[in-house]
Amino acid sequence: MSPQTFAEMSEAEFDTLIDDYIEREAASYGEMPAEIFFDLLLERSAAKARQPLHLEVTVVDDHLVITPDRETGDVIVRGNEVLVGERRLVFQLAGATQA
Amino acid sequence: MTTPSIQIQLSASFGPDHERVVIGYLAGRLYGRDAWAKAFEAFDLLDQAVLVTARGYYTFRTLYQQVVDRLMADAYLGELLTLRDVEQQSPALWSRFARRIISEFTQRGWRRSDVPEARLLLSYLLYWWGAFARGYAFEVEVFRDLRNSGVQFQAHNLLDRQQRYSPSDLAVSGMAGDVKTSVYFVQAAAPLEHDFYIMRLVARGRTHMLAVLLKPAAWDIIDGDTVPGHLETIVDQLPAPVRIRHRGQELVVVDYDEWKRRILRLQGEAQ
Repeated sequence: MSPQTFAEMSEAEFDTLIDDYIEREAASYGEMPAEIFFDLLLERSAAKARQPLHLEVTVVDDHLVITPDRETGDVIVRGNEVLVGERRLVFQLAGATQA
Repeated sequence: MTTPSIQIQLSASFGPDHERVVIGYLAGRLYGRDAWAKAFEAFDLLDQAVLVTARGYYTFRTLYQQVVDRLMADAYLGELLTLRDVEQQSPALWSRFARRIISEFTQRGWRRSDVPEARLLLSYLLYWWGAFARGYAFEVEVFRDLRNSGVQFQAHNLLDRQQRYSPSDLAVSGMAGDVKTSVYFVQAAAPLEHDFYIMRLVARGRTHMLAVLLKPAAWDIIDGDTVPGHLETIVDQLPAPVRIRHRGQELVVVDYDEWKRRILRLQGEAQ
């Protein structure tokens, strides 16, 4: 019987799991069944629309780095920029000048 | 020399069922709606799992951005765009970078038999790498196919970070659209704001298929005829345009080749 948790797995078993995953994914499209896809997509898109998106802001080498708490298709966050629809919001530290 | 200690802090909501389904995903053993739903929930919860080291606290999402996205995304995309046959050659490229992620994971001292929860971090990094790499490979495939088919469209430049993170991947006849792999589409689910989404799915467990999901208003611009359908029958009804109503939303699903045919007709009439 295959291990049920990572703690029950030996190093060799974990390596095999990862190797097999990479081999299998490289040989397939890794897509999900259509029968399940539509229902889960609509269920999750409705649920996610109601959830707040939290943004963590850190300063790395004098640059702001914004990190969302999750990946979401409708708000794009990269570096110090947040893209909501067609609107690009650029954040910078007070006193800093735009490069 | 002692090995620096690390800890993994998981959300209190992340239980043994979530861990089992992550393993099930890696092992290719996700069967049925409930298993897939649980897997998406598990990877949602792992977004906020934390790696604690002597240097600080890092969420898995932050680590993905720092260790994978920032270090590998541009290099991968640069190589991806040089491939002659993306469909055939990109899996090898994806897996080469996946193995680089494993090396990074090991070199950074996160591979620890005394901290089995760290295996969730590697699982998370590989899962999101798969979503990113396969998503862009599919996007390039679609762009090339549209170009070869004579469809007129505007696409963002993947090598330009500013353009890559644009609100939509492409525009066709004034309609904004995205190209999505099915797993990423569901994992990063958001309100469906674009006019259309080109996606790839597995049909009846056998083979893959390309389909386009449209808002009814976008379909009306192309051609308003549809047949009513249900989630259970969509696969069998395609390539006909199928109109579904589900969870308060109305959408049209059409076979990708059929969508292209009608777009070409629309663009031909416009000239």
